Amino acid sequence: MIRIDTPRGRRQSGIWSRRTFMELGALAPLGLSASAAPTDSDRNGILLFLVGAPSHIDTFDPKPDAPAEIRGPFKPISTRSPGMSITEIFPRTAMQADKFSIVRSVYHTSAAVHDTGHQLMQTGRAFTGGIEHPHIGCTLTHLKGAREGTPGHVLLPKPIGKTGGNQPHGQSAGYLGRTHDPFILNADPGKPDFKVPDLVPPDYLNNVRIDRRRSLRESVEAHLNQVEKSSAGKQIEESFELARKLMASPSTRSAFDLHKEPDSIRDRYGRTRFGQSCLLARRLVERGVRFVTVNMFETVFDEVTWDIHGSRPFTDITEMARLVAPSFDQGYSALLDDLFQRGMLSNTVVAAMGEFGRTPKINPAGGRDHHPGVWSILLGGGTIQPGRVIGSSDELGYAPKTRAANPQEVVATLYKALGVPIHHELPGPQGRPIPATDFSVQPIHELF
Amino acid sequence: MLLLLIIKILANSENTPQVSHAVFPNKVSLNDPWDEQKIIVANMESGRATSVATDAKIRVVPSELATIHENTVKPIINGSGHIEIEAGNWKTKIPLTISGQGEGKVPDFKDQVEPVLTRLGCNAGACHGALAGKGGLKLSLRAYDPESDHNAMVFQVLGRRINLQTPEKSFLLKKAMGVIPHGGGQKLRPGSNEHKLLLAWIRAGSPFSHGSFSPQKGIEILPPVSRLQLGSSIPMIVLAHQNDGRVRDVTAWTKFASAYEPVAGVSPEGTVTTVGNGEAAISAWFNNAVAVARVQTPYPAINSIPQNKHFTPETWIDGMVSARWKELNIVPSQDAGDDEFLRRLWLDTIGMIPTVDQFAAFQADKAPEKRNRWIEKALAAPEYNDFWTYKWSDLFLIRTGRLNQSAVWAMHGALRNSVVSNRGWDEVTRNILLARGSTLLNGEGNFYVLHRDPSELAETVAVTFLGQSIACARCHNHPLEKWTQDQYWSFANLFGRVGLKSGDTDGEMLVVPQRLGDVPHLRTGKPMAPTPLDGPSLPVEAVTDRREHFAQWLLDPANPYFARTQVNRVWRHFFGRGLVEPDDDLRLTNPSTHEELLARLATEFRTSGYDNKSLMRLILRSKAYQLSSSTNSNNENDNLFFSHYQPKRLSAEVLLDAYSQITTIPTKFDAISPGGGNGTTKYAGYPLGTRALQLPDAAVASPFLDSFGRPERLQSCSCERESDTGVAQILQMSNGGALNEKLRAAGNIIEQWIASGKSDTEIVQILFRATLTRDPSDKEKNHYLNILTKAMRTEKREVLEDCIWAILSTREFLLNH
Repeated sequence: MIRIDTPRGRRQSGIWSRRTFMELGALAPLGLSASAAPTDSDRNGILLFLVGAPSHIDTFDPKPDAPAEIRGPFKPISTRSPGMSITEIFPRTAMQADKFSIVRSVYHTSAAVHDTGHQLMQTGRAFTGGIEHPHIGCTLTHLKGAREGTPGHVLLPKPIGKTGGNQPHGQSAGYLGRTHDPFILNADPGKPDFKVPDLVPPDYLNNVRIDRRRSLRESVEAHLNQVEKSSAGKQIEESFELARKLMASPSTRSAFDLHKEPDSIRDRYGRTRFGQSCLLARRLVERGVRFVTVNMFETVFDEVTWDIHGSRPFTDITEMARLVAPSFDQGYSALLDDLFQRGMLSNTVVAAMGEFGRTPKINPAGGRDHHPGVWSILLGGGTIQPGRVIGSSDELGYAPKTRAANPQEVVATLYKALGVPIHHELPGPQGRPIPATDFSVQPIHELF
Repeated sequence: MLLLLIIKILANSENTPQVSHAVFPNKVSLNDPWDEQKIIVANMESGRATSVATDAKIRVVPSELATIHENTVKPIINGSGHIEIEAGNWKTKIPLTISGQGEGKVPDFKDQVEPVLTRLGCNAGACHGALAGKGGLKLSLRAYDPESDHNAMVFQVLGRRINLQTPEKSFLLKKAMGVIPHGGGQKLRPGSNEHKLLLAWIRAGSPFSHGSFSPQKGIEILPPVSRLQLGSSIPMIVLAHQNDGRVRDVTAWTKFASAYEPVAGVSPEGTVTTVGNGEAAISAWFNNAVAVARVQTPYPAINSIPQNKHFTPETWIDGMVSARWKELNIVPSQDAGDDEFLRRLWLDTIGMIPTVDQFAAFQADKAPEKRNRWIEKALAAPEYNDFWTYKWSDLFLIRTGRLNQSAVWAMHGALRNSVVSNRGWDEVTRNILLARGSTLLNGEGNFYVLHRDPSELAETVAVTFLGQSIACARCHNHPLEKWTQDQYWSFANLFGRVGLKSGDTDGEMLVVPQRLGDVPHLRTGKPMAPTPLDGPSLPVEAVTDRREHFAQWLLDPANPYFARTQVNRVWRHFFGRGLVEPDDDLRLTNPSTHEELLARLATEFRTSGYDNKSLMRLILRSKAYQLSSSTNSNNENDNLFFSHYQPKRLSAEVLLDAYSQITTIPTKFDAISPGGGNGTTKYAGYPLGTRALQLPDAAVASPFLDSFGRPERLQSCSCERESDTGVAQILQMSNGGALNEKLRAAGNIIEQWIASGKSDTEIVQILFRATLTRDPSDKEKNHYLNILTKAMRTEKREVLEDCIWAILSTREFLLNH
């Protein structure tokens, strides 16, 4: 008998939506258990979120023919893909240009605040009416579940913090429920003493004590009446089991252990927070994690980021090229190459994107300000065809000129590449079905 | 209401159950060329349909009047006769009238054309119903705005969509039939009823309305109650009733939904299939009207467990709950037993684990009315005030952010006073709704500071006091409910004249009713007459405080929502599931599992002066509440009918307070994180020893509380509090500081035990009593003693830390069961 309990609140647990249930019921009213769920389990995703928003003109959409106050200080260079040029601040990325494509015509029409862009690019929608939409990776794990012994979706190194708008950043499972929230690392993989908090017991808890705790716990668990049959009881035990595996399974534990990587590889990614996060993302996917989100920065205030307003506390164009671009160039190119070498690129979608572009005209402080009118993103891996340049911005980089793509189309593209039906109806607040992307939205088909 | 069963009872021999048949509907009238009527012949038992009579034969007399194919009657010529139905040796006939054939009838745009467009999916969210329309044509989502739809179809693009000269060649029909390329493909089949109807409408000059069509009065879904075997199916039919008495079959144009899919699903055509035991409501939506049918799948009778063997109803609640068990063959669990009852009573009523002393006193109490005496103790405990103030603070969204510290304290203080004095819920409500003046002197006024946007305010008021989610109707008619967009904006305009002015001190606002001001309708831009949902309107120009008008309607004893909402909320608190679930969605299409019980509770609540404590007393004293959470083979899957207690995870605050109580190490609360990237500020206002449940503010910094699902208090929804347990919570418990540091802290309970020279046996007993409110079993005792006695003196403390950790991480501890 099918019995899948779906509470009708905003939060729903379990990987079955009401709609799935209906379909399941319609297909086979009897005898199909939840475990028979179809999964095409091979696809993985890595999202490198470039918090702060890179300037498209200074990075992946150079405008050499524009006036000086627009084109900026950097020259375009050719890449391994004929016809695709990027600026000279990404020499290593240019060498991997046969492994990704650029979409140069992404735009959004919502407020030009970071938070809104974070929501749009990671969930497809701006949050209104108290509704928090799920992050791409959360939708994926909601539909396909986590692989044995691993969390489904890991977020490195920390969730996006303060970026000025006082709004959520679109990095939770929203109405899909806390069980589908990403597993948050909360530690800096770039630090020499890096380890995952709470994943490993504190020093004073040695193995003898942990075993003793488990044994003492089990003798009381054995006393249980039938509390374990309740859904709350089952959930606790399943989580204990996964936590135990995370803590005990050497392979899972080692997935988080960057110290196991040879120095040569660690050096290749760069010994930065971002570089080592990229490496950790690869390690995790290699060991079964379905989706990894890497936030390049935690905020735009207390560190040098892509948010190059020019005036304090922000950096300007040249400092960005000196301090920010190299760590991206190294981490991103190493990730693509490493995934390729290991044969993982064909089933791992890699996206690198920020929340908007930057004003074409350089401001008096030598920086550029927020500009959601148009910007560029990088997509590769999986079924996404590499080496292409899709869409374009106008001569001055103000607006899309051809093949404008909004955030929902970007998210739909990622869903398609990840094998998520783009119009699958998710269980929204009050049981209201909400399609993964609006029915009117289609992926950027030129990428496939 | 309009149902008349035609039932003939079969020869009633001694050993066969009463079997009868019924025909739905009880008469057929086809008044338009595109009309048809589906007929269901059902086997019946005690007034409920149990299956389709597959052997039924249906015949039209005289046969030239109409055709009959797959139980559907289609008209041929005008006339009257009857339909004969025969199933086995049972026979009946129902009247048949046919009119309007071959007469050039004109369909009504609103009640006939629009439903066809809705059924074909033209105005769905994915097609022309999208906010921006599609391919140049924009229709209102599921036809909530017929006037603008008519305008779009008939007059836009210079009327090119309609061809009055050659109606068959209308662009609209050719598109829908896919004759010319259509993004949505072929939607309309040539020669179908829908095609006939649309064509007739265009031929008649595509009018918006014409005099002869009587407006729709309501809809009806049949059979109203079914009782099916698991895995079987039955079709539903839906009839639209018009003011002039005409009845039409609108099944084909109806949208169906199941309110509880784990029990029954429904196909787009309206065939219900049961997939689980219990009961589900099937709702039908046609042309902005809704109706609901009930479908039951009784549990299999289990002879080895005699039904209700352990259950004798004592209170009227028990009587009503057990009546539902009988109806569905559910065998309830046994009584929980005294110890389990005490733990549950304490956790549910005051948010605490019973202390060792309380447990001992409870055990020593030999009075016959012992449980009732302890219920009174719980209701009178000082912790009751903290717990319920916290609960209502969740409901009213108290947190730093939109409110500053002084306002948080003022609002919390006002709520706490009302809990301490057990103020009637009507008065609590009135104080909030009619608050005026300084928000620091009258803390309730901060409700208006929290909700400055009138439509947000309207939505919160609807959820909080009426149990209605009306947010959908902000932009369009509620898709599965009776609330229209007009009603939404009429409701919102009740709050159009609440003014806020800055006061003299920081955080002080003055709530000032104003003489002018309106909330304009989103679509029309015009203010609607302020109206409390389906209550009486106030003229826009009336000068009384509109909030008074609303409060008068809300708190009138005849108000159908107010008492039910609160009663359901309190019931849900204790039983883990509302009589209507979710508890903030008391809409018609989401009916109660126990309507009679809900109604009676609401009446009792009202007559008690809306006394929350009396309501709790009624619930706590019921034997239904006192059932075990252990299930039997019959009721283990029942989550709807309260046949066993539903275990629920201890909430974040209760859990953290329990850690403190058990280890005797309080939690430090010394910072506030208002959220939204505003960082964390030190705050010294909570002296050490303040319990989590005593905090007035959901913004007090606590990674533990956040991790275990403390609500943020940003949105009025009981769903804000999360009770899920994921890996992060387990890792936090296992390796994080919140519990481990309390276990390691100097001077904690472990050191006290050791210092007082307690024996290991004593310690093990205290340990179990302090945490699980029971004595250890022999096996547990032996295991724990074995490990303790083997430990070296220096190790003892660590071993005891591990003992406490082990018990605090069991499901038995983490769940209120």
